[in-house]
Amino acid sequence: MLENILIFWFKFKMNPFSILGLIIVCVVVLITIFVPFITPFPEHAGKVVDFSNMNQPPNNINYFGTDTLGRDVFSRTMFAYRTSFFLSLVVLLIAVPVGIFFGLLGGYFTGLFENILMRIVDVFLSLPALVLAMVIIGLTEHSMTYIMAAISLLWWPWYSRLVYSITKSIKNEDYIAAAKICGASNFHILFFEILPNCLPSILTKITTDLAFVIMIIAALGFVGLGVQPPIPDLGRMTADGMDLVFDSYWLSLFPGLAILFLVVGFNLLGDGLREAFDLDLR
Amino acid sequence: MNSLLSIESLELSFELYKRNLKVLNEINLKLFKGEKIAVVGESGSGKSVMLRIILGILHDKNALIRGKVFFDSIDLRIQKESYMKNHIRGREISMIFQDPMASLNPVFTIRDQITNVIKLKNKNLKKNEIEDIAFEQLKKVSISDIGRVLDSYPFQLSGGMAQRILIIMALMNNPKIVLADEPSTALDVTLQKQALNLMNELTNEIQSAVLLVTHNLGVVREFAERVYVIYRGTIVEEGLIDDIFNNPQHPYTIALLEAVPRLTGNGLPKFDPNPPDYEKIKKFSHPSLSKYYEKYS
Amino acid sequence: MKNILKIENITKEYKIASKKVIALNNISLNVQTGDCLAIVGESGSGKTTLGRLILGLENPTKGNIFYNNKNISIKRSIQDRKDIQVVQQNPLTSLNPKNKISSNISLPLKIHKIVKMKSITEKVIELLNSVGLNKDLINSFPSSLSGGQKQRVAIARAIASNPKIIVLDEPTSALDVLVQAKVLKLLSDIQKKYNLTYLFITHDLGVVRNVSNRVVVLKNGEIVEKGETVEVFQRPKHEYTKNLIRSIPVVSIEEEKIKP
Repeated sequence: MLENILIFWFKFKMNPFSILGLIIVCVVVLITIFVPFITPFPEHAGKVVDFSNMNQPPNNINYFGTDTLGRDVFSRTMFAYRTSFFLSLVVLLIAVPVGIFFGLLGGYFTGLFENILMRIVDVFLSLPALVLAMVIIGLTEHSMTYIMAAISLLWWPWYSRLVYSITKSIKNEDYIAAAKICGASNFHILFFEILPNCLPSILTKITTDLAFVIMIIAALGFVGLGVQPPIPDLGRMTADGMDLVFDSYWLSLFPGLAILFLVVGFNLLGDGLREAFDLDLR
Repeated sequence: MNSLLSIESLELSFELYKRNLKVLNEINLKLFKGEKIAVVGESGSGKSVMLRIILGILHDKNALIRGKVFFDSIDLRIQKESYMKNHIRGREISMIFQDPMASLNPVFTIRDQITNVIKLKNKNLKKNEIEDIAFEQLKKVSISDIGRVLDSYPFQLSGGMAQRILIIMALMNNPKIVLADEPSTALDVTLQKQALNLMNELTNEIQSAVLLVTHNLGVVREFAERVYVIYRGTIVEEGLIDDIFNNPQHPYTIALLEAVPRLTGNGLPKFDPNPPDYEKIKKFSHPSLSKYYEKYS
Repeated sequence: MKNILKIENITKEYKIASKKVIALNNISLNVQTGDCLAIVGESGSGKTTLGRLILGLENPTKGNIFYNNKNISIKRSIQDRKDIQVVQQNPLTSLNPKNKISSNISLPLKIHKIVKMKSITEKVIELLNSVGLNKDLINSFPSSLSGGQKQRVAIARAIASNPKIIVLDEPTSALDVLVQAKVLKLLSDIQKKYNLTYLFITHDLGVVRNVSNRVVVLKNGEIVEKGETVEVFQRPKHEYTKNLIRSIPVVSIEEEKIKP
């Protein structure tokens, strides 16, 4: 087992960009865990105002400057990482199992069931996620719960389609036939023979999806449909700073760069994982 | 000796996880004009990859190659890619691959693919001239409805038909050497016989030399004049057909022959449960070879 | 000698792109306990389809299959499944690449409750030893094994449920000749040791001549010849059989001489 992990690592580190992605993601994860300890003004993520200090450019005390309410932008940006990360994790925690479940069933059992299931998936796939999320949230509440629910609802079909195509392609393989001949139940075949073969693709997709969901949440925040203040949100912060971008550039720049940093990191990591899984070292 | 192809001290190794994998160990091989030789070995012996090195189509970043490959006194190993592409591949030296379905491009018709090969030799032929050449060539394989076959896509043809077309395509431009990598392994035994007969006929016609790589000793015996036996990247025995099959000397060759199940029904094929280290046993070259080589001096 | 397997007037049809393809046409044959029956044919002969029907992966369009006089053509019980196992052709795809060797072998042990859960590892080691493999391979994944080793694992998995019949679908066709020799010996030993009946599907007549006692020759879904192996090889009746034997590239003059 250890040998396999070491071989995977060898393949992974062949691409320096993958290492870069891994480092970035590790940095982000560490930030989200240790954020109260590494930020100078953790309380600024909450209901705090300090008008005496408002609109300061980046300096030695406030690395990213302060915003219109005098709050430290650096601390808020770091806390905003936490918000985004938490939201996207929950979304995936719901969407992934649901998606896998329907993908496995649809790919394995042919006929009417497969058709109905996959057409439902098609419907969801054809809807633009961002627009629909905006509609749902606009009609309901701006709370974290509704945002996560809306995005999960739109996200699970992507995993269904992924698992569906892998299931369809391997269900006629010899080892699946061998399992049937042994007398294995459909349940066993689906979850213990087919699913393990879907995991590399699923893991890779989760990595890149984390970034994607965070971008969607940021976009929602940007148009004002994200989490409500004072909870810091990268998209919201970027949007709020847009009006003052020529005078107080730091208000939009740093949250925007933070999004970029995170998204690039996850994408590089996801690409690296995919390459390492695909690579056959002979 | 004026050999058409001369491989000298060819070595190949790959840089892998934690180790350096040596695939070819100082290979020395000669091929003369019009000769049919076979390189026989099991999988992993390096025989297929050797063919790819000859044509310069081994694209692996981790590959380390040393040695020389002389074709008509030109070392192919140091030639530019453009030379290989424009003069050698498909023209002076062509190759027949193992799986006919994987060797033909699935999205082009047979006509398109044969046209490409015809144009390699002469770019300026007109459409009807090309069609005539294609017809003439396909007639050699006694295909009844040539027009239909030319219009077809590879998936519409049977494996046997596809392999015969590949053989034609490889020989169309009168190459001096044909490299064949397990050309009949993917075929049924009756089709295999047809394909090999066809190769024999056509190469005799144009006096082309053949280097056949295979693991099937029966095919070697029916097709080749001279044999190299290869084990894990090392040539362990070289000789003429009669010598190899009637008087094998190297323990590995003997083991290979004993392991072939016989039609005479001698029982389960024999094998040595504790074989010696075949690589460490010295290579055996049959003495009758020196007289044979005199023909080509 | 009783008939452990009776195949009665089996026909299998497929609909491919609205065309009817007849893979097997009215096949009948009997298999006796302890036989090693070779099923020989080229591609398109239907031998693989016949194997799949016997293994219960598909149902025949017409006809019946009897195992110990019980009709298993449409439905088969877990007990029936236990008794009829398989060794497949391609070692690269016959084991689940994501499961350890021990999981691949213990699958039938768990399904048919061959041993108690706590003795599973012990039994897997016993099975590995009986196919000539070391117990160190228990925690390895198929990708770190050679082709020959993978086939041995497949054989271990096949005998795990204490079956009565094993369908061998080209079990050595993807192996080198030296490895094939060892695997054929292993299969022969296993057949004797566990009193098994083999259905040996292959296109390699050299192997057929030396491992089987009876042979059936298929062409385009029909039986063109069947009988005792020695008889069919020494005095083939059908022209197709004769042609097949003639086409084999042999390695000795003695073999050339006995070709029809």
